This record gives sequence, C-alpha cells and structure tokens, in this order.
Amino acid sequence: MSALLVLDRVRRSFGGLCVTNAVSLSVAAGERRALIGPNGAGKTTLFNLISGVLRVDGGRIHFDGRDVTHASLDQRARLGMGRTFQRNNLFPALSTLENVRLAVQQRAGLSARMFRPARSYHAVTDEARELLDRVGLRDRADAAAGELAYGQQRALEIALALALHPRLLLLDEPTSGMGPAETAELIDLIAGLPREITLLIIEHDIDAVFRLADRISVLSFGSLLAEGSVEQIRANPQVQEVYLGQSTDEVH
Amino acid sequence: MARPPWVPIRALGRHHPAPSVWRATMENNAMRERWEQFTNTGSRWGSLVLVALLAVLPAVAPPYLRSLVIEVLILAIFAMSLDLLLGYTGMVSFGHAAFLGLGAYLLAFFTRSVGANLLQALPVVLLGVALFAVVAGFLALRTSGIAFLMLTLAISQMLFGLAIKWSSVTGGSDGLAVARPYVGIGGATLGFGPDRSFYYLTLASFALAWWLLRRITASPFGHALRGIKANEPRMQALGYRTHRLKLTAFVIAGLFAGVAGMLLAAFNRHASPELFGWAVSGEAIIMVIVGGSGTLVGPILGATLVHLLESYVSSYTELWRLVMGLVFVGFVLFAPQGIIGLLRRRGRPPSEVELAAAIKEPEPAALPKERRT
Amino acid sequence: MTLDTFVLQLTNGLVFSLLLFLMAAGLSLIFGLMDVVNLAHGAFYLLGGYLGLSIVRWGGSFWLALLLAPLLVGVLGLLLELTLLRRLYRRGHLDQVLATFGVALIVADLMRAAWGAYVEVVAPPALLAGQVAIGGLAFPTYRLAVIAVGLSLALGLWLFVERSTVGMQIRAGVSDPQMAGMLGVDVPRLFAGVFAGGCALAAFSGVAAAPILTLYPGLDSEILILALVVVVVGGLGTLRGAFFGSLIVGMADVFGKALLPEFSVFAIFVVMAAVLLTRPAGLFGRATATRGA
Ligand SMILES: Nc1ncnc2c1ncn2[C@@H]1O[C@H](COP(=O)(O)OP(=O)(O)OP(=O)(O)O)[C@@H](O)[C@H]1O
Ligand SMILES: [Mg+2]
Repeated sequence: MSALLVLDRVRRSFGGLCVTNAVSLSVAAGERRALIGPNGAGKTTLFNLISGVLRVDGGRIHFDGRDVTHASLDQRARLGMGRTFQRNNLFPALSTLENVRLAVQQRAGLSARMFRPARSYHAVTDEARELLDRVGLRDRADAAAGELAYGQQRALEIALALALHPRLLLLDEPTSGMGPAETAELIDLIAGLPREITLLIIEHDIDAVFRLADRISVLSFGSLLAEGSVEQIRANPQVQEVYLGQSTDEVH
Repeated sequence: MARPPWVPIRALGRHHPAPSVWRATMENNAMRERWEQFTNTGSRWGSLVLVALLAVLPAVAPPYLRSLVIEVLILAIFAMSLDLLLGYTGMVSFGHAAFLGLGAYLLAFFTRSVGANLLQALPVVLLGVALFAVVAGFLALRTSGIAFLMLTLAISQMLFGLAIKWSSVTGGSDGLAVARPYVGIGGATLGFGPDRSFYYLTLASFALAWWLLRRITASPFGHALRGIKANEPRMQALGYRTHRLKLTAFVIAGLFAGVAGMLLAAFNRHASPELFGWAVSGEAIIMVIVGGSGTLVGPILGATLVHLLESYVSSYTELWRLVMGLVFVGFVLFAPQGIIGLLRRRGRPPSEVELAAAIKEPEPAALPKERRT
Repeated sequence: MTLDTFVLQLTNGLVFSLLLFLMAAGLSLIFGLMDVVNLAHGAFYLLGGYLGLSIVRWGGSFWLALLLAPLLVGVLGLLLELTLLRRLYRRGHLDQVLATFGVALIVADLMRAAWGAYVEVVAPPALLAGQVAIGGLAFPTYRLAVIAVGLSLALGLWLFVERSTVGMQIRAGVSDPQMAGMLGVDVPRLFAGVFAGGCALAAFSGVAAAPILTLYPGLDSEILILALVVVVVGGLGTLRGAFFGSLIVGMADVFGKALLPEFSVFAIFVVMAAVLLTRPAGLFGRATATRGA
C-alpha cells in the first residue's frame, strides 16, 4: 500500500518550547492510525501542522505524493484533508443544517455561485440532512449550532469533516466530553466509515483506540516514542510507563 | 460575566412565560421564520408593496418630498452595499465613500469627455470602480479587523486628497459639473431632468439593487460570506478560499456603491470631493448600524432615518452631526442590533441562543492567533 | 530643489513628523493595549489647539496653554474612557471604535459651534518668534524649538515605556492583556490612564502645531488619517513603529507637497502600499498585530 500522508522530521516550537520535535510519520492509504500521548504531548499541534493551521518550522509534509508543506489550510482541505477540532469550532449562530451545508457546498464547488438561492440547491440540502442523520442529529437540523448539547456539537464537527468527502480524516479527541452511550455510538460510526477514508485519530479512550486503530503512534514531549500494531503498543513497557501511567491520574 | 446592557433581563422575562400563541412550536417556527424573513432581507410581498407605494408617490407628493426620497433611495443603495461587507462578511470598511466618490467622478469625467448617455457611461464607470476595488481590496485585505478599518479609511482619504489637490483634472474643492444625463438607444433618447423621470430611474435602480443583493446574500456565496463572518478560520478548514471570497464581496459592494455615486452625481449634476470624505463613510456605517446590520432592510431604514434626521435637524441648527453622533452612540450602547434588532426582540420570543448570549458572551474561535500559511 | 531648500524642507519634515509622532504615539499605544482605534483622536488634537487659542486670547501665555490644554483634554479622555468605552469592553472592539467615531462627530460639531468655521492662527510665544541663522540659512526659531521639544518628548516617552514600572505594565498589557491582569496589573486603571495620556499628548501636539498648521474645522480628520497611516506603516502598538512611521509619513508628506503638489497624498499612499505589500503587520509590528475586530 502506498503512503497517503508522510511527515519528514517536522518541527515546531512556541517561543522556546519545542512542541513538535522532528516527527517523522507515514500513514498508508486506507489505514486507521491512532495518535496517543499524555496531555500536552503535542498531538493537537501535530494535527495543526498536518492540516495547515500552523506552519512548520522545519521538515516536510507530503500528502498523496504532493509536497504540501507550504500549502494553506484551505488548499489542504480541498486536497482531501478533513479535520475536527478538539475544542468545538463551529458556526454557533447558524443552524445545524446550515453548518453542514456550508461544508457540502464548498466540496461540491458551489461556493462562488451567487445568483440562485442556496436553498434551491436541493442536492446540497439532501446531502447535509443525510450527514446529520448519520451522526444522529436529524432532529436538531433547525437548531442553532450554539444551542446543541456539547456531545451533539462534537457529532456536528464530524459531520462537517465528512461532508468534505475527505481522503484523510483527522479526528482530534472526537469523544471527549461525551457520555458512555454517546461515545459507543460515535465509535461505531467511525468504525463503520468506508475504508477508503484514511483515519488519523487522537483519542484518550484506550478501548476506543484499541478497537478502531490498525496501528498506533505514541507521542511524548513532542517526540515520537513508539509506533506499531495494537498488540505491539500494548506490550511496549515504555509506552505503558509514559502513556498509560499518566492516563490513569489524568482521570482525576 | 456581565450581560450585554442591551438585553435587560427584564425584557427577556417579559416574554417568559411565552404567550400561548408561541407555545405551539410549529406555529412558532413558521411565524418566526416569516418575521425573520421580513426583518431580514425583506419579504417578497413587503418589498413589492414598498416599491409600489414609492412608485405612486410622485403623483401625490410635492417636489421637495420627491427629491428627499430620491436622496434616501440613493443612500439606501449605498448603505445596503456596505452592509454586504459590514453585516454579512464582518469586514468593517471605513472607506466605503471611496466608491461613492469614484462613481460620481467617473460619471463626471465620462459626461465631459464622451457624453451623458447613461447606457454608455454605466459599463465604463463600473469597470473603473471594479478595477479600483480590486487593487484597494487586495491591499486592504492584507490585514483584517481594526487594521482593515484603518486601511480602508486611509485609502479613501487618499482619493479625497487627490480630488482636492489634483485640481486640473478633478476641479479641486469645487468638484466637477455633470451634464444632464439621458438614456439613449439608437435614435431614441430619454432625458432626465429634475422631474419625475429621475425619480423613477432612482427607484428602479434601488429596486434592482435590493433585489440583486437579496439574491446574492441568499446564494451559496452569500452563505459563505456569513460563514466567514461567523468563523473565518473554520471556513478555511472547510476548504474555502476566504481571501478570494472577501475580495469578491469587496468588489461587489464597491460596484453597488459606485452606482449610488453615479446616481448622486447625476441627480446633483455635480461631483464633489466631500463624497470621498470620511464623514460619508462614517454616515454609511451609522445607517447600517442604526438600521440593523446584516439585514438589508436595516440599512434601508437606517438611510431613511439618518437622512430625514439630517434634513430635519439641519433646518433648525448647524449642529446636526452632533445630534446624529448622539443618536449613534446611543444605538451603539443600547441597541447594537439597530432598529431591526429592537423590532425582532419585540416580535418574537428570544431564541435559546439569544438567551444564552444574554447570559454569557460567546467565546472567540479556537484557532491559534497566527498568520497561517 | 537646491540644497538650501532641501535643508529647509528637511527641517519642516522633521517638525511635522514629530508633531505627528505625538499624535500617533497615543493612538498606537491605545491600540496596542486596548485594541481600540480611537477615532476621536484627531478631534482631541484639534480641541487641544482650540483650547490653547482661547487660553492665549483670555490673556494666558502660550506656555500656560501648552500646559493647561493637554490637561483639560486628558481629563476629557479619562471621562470618556470611564463612562463610554468601559461599558463596551465586554463587547467587540468594533463597538468601541464606533463609539469613538460618534464622539468624534459630537466633539467636531461642538468645536465648530464654539470656535466657528474660520481658520484661526495662534502666534508663537515672543521668545520664539524670530529666526535663527545657521550656516547662512534662516530657520524659524519656533520650528527648531518644536524639534527640540518633540525629540525630548519622544525620548522621555520611550524611557517611560521602557524603563518605568507603569511602562512595563503597559508593555505587558500590549503583548498579553490577560496575562498582565493575572500578574496583578490593574488593567482597567491602566487602560484609563493610557487613554487619558494619549488624548493629552494629542492635545499637546495640537497646541504646539497651532502656530504652524493653524486651526480649522476638518483639520481633525486630516491629522487623524495621517496618524492612522503612521500607525499602519510603523506597526500597531509599538512606540518605535510610531516614531519611524511618523518620520516616513511626515517626510513623504512634506517632500511630496514640495515636489509634486498635486500628488502629495499619493506619495504617502505609495509608501503605505509598499510597506503593506512587503510587511502586512507594519515595519515594526508583530504578525499577531492584525488582531480582529
Ligand atoms: N498556539 C500555541 N502557543 C503557545 N503554546 C502552545 C500553542 N499551542 C500549543 N501550545 C503548547 O504546546 C504544548 C502541546 O500542546 P498540544 O495542544 O499540542 O498538546 P496535546 O497533546 O494535544 O494535549 P491534550 O491531550 O491536552 O489535548 C502544550 O504545552 C501547549 O501549552
Ligand atoms: Mg490536544
């Protein structure tokens, strides 16, 4: 299988703090990769570098064989990177349906149309409703996104990312702040995504990680600590010490 | 956290418990939607009735009132065009007068050098305005927020300075006279004097501008602009070329403002440097904010109110800007959603979002503050 | 342009730049600290000049005017901050900017009512009325004095911001208001103080400039625009930016007017465009200075 995403010694620091320290990573097309690590390890920062929210200080990023190191956030999204944000990042005043419609209409290449009413693009609306259906928000289509419960907003984040028909889906702690039932539903949803969507997921729920991931990368203090199959990571004593050791006191 | 002073808890309480008419959610939603549609860009019937009423007005109104309405309609076009930036896209331009003045001066140049046929002048003027808008927008959009405001202001002031100083071309502080405009196709011509014909030309332009802007704001493009206003970095993460969209909005707004400038120059038969002034840009902002930004109807109301206030107050005192300043500060303090916002709050119960907003401030978008690649 | 006129124009440019700096410094610090563009800053400049005019007319000396007018305007700025801007902190900065625009309109009309619409001239103090000959060239004494005072004020301001405790708090507030608050800085008091101080500086500039630029309605917005350009060119929120921005804009204005009278505004515009194209955050601005409204 060919690699869809390749990071080559990617570096980034904030002030004096080196948050991403020469991280090299390769994710194959169709693979499901989990990125784990203790709080503050630099996981979100790595996502920001991959998706183009932040610029790298050094190193290269290749996506689908193209060098996207200097591509902008929106360019990368159009190339097929869809992402969610750890802190809900939506359009709170717009309706839930409208949130998804914005994503769908962009992907469909309609965002420069300025004469026909947006509502008359039924295909867009239908697809948006379908996505809401899929993430369990069918009943909240007309509610403002800001009115949704926290877990529902997390689901909406995923609907936005899926609406882009991404080839690489970057999920940053999709289940954080969700109850157990909601979490299980969401994990089912992610597990049921078609295999053409390559998945890179940051997740603290270890059971979810073990269930979803083909391979796992462990990040600690900005460096890649280990990478391997679920079994390998499970058995890795270093990982158990650094990650699992911390993840228990993280529960408070 | 302090609740915004413009949403008194009492006012919210007055709607709660909701009157029975609002209880049935279906009905509530339908009515809310209709009300919102009306207070938003103007309902189809509402706007048709308004235009129809305006169409019969010259038959009954004295000439001075006709002139007043002409001015209001031109200013309404100007204010609506600014609303596309300010209210829909969240771009606070303090230099929108640049386009008004440019439209006026380009028409003046055209009538002096080629002729006063509006049908010929229109495409030339619009092309000139669009070119300027692309360059100015490209520069100004290197920045955002307050810096954008300052830059647009500076750019328009440059034109103002040019209009004053480059007197060999612009007539200096006297401005330029504009020949009596007409519309001519083949041999047939229709001239516009200070009579009803100009009134109808203005009304038609106003109706067309309103209709077009309604279409644009309701289109996918218009929705994208709203998304940019709400959360621009998130739009980029969805793959939107937000810079390009904002530039497009800037040019469109400039074109409509340019048309308003043409009409103003044709009506006054004169293009004056004051049209470029920051007072004019500021007045446009006042119209949009006082009426209610992001609604199109609001700027129409705002233009009406501000212009009537101006003509009324200035017949009593020189200090009408003082009065306008006070009114404006009052709105900024107590009713930042403008007249439309006040109407909406009366017309329906507050939504959950508004209730939430009345209690806590929305958090800004979560992306790190950094210039992105 | 002969060498003599060049030197004279250079002097004029320096005078104008320094007057502009006094305006722009307040504008820039207020912006850096509070994220507010004070659109009433030009009105306060002109108000300072008019108050100075009245003080001189009522028999006070020019020196008294130079002291009293900034004080009065500073108090006015303080009141404005306490009564109006403070209420708007919690809302977007746009609302504050709009409020200052309303104030600018109100003050402008009040000034027109109080001082009329004619050009008013303030005579420089007798002590500085003459000319000084240096190297065969006659320089107006008053302008040389303005240069001296302007440079010392710039230096004093720089020392104040860089060396004093309050200055340190200001810098902390400019770089991160929340952090400054957590470090125990009384942020609201700091805001009020800087706002008042900025207004007083503008008024001082207004009095000092009156003998050179005269006073007339509309000067407020002319000066405001130039100061805004200075801030854009120099970078938002930095004193250094305000200083060098003022030099660039002041010189561009004076030399533009001398060389191409019809296009002097273009000289400034070209400078601004060039800076923005190469450094969108201004010459000395940090990239984050493009904070949103
Ligand atoms: N924009 C920024 N500016 C300065 N420091 C930052 C910035 N973003 C992240 N950091 C710092 O970088 C480090 C890594 O942060 P990051 O959010 O990437 O960690 P994470 O692994 O996602 O943690 P968590 O599991 O809590 O989400 C932290 O110490 C954080 O404070
Ligand atoms: Mg994180």
